[in-house]
Amino acid sequence: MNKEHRSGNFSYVVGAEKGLRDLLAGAETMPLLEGAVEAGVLSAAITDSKGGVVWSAGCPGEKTYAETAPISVEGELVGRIMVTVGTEAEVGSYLKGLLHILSVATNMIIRANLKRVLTTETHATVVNRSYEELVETNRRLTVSEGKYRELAATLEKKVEERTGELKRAQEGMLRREKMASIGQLAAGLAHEINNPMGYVSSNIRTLKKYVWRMGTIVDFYRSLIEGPAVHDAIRLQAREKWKELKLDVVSGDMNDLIDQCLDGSDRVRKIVSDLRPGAKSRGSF
Amino acid sequence: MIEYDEVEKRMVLKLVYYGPALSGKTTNLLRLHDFLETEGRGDLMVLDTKDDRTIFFDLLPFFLEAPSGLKIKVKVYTVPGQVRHDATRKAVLQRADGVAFIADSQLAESTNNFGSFDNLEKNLSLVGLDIDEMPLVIQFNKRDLHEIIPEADIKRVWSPTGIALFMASALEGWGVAETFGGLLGRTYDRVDKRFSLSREHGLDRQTFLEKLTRRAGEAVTGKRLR
Repeated sequence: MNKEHRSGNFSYVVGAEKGLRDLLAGAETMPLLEGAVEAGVLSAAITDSKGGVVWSAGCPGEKTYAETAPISVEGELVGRIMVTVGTEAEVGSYLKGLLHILSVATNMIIRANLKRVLTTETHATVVNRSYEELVETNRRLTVSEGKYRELAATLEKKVEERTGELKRAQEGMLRREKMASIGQLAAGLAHEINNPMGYVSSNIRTLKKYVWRMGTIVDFYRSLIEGPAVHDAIRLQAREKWKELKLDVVSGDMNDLIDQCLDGSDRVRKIVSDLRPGAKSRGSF
Repeated sequence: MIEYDEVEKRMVLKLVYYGPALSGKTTNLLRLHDFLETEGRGDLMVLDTKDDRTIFFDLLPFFLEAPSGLKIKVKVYTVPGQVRHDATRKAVLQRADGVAFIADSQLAESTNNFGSFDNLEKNLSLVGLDIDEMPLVIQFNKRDLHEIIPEADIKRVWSPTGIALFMASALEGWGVAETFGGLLGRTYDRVDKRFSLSREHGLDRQTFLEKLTRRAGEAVTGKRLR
C-alpha cells in the first residue's frame, strides 16, 4: 500500500498495515495447495480481496464446482481459498473438510507470520533505540571523561605549582629561622662585646684627661727649671734626661695614640650596634 | 495521528492500553476478546511473554466498514508495564489515536500509578503527541479487591482533570467494555471532527460504538460473570 500520498507520510515503526502478500509466502502456501490437488481436487487457489489469483495448484476444468473459505488478517477479509472439483457429487463433507483444513492452516500461518513480523519489528526498534541511546550515553561519557582527564592533568600541574610554592615558602621559613638564629647569636655577641667596650672607651677618655693634666704639670716644672732659681747643673741634667727619654716625640705622639684608641673603640661600638636586632642591618636578613 | 488513505479508502486507528506493571491491561483485552462478537473482530494476539508478563505487546484488532465503503481498522494494543521495557512502550505508543490508562486500585500501588502516568505523559511528548489533545480515559481496575483506594478519593483526585473515569474488575469482567466504549466514543469524536465520519461516510457515533462493542450471545449480557 502506498503510504505516502495525500494524508502525509505514514511511517510506522511498529504495527504498519500488512497485506496478504506480506504475510503469506508462496513457499508456505504452495505445498498446501498441491497437497489438496494430490488429495483429489481439480484445483486449489488463493485469491486476494479483489478476486485475483495469488497462488494456485492444479487446473480447473471446463465445468467445475467450487467451494471457498475466507482468509482474514486482523479481522479484515483479505482473500479466499478456493478449491474446485469436477462433479457435483464430490461437493460434500469431503470437500468441506479439506477446505476447512486449508483454511485453518492458512489462517494459522498468517497469524504466526504476523506475530513474527510484529515481534521482529518491536525487537528491532527497541534494539535500535537502545543502541542509539547507548551511543549517545557513550558520547556523553566520553565528553565527561575528557573533562575529568583535563581536570586531572590540570590538577597535576596545579599540585606541582602548589608544591613548588610550599617548598619555596618552607625554604624561606628555614632561611628566616637561620637568620633569626644568627641574629640572636649576633645580639648575644654584641652584648658581650659592648660591656667591655663601654669601660675601655670610658677609661681611655679619662686617661686622656689625666694625660693632659700630667702634661700641664710637666710643662710647669720645665718652665720652673728654665728659670733663674734653678742651678745650671740641675737644668742641664733635666735637659739631658728629657732628651734621653725622647720626650719631645712622646709628648707629640701621646695625644694621637689616645685619639686613635678612642676612634678605634667608637668603630667597634658602631659595628656592634649594627649587629643588634632592630638595627637597620636586619632588613637584609 | 490518524492513518487515513483516501485512495484505498482505509483508516487505521490505534488505541493503546497503558499503565503500571500488573494493573490488568492484558486481562482487559482478554475480556474484550471473550465478550465481543467475532464478526469484524480479529484474534487476540498475545506476543511472546515471560512468566505471563507482557514483554512486547498484545494486539486485539477490529475491522468495520462504513456505509461509504471506508474500511476502518481499530487496533487495540497493550504496552509492557514493567519499568525496564520503556523502549517498547515508546515504540507501541507511537502514532496512538487514543489511550486507556489502566490503574491498579490497590492502596499499595498508588505510587506506581502516578509513576506510570508520568511516564505516559513523558513518552507521549517524546513521540510527538499532545496529551491534552489525546482521547484519554482512566480505568481503576481490581475493584473486587479489599485494600483499595475508595472511589470518592479517586474522583476527588482525578475529576478536576476532566479525564473520564471508569471503575472495573477485569478479572470479574465488569467495567471493561464500558472503558473500551468510553475510549472509542472519545476517539470517534476526534476522528469525526477531522474526517467527517458521520457526514461524509454515513457512520454515526452510535453505530460505530455498537459495531465495535457488540456482545457475543446472551450469556455475557449480565454485568458480572463470576
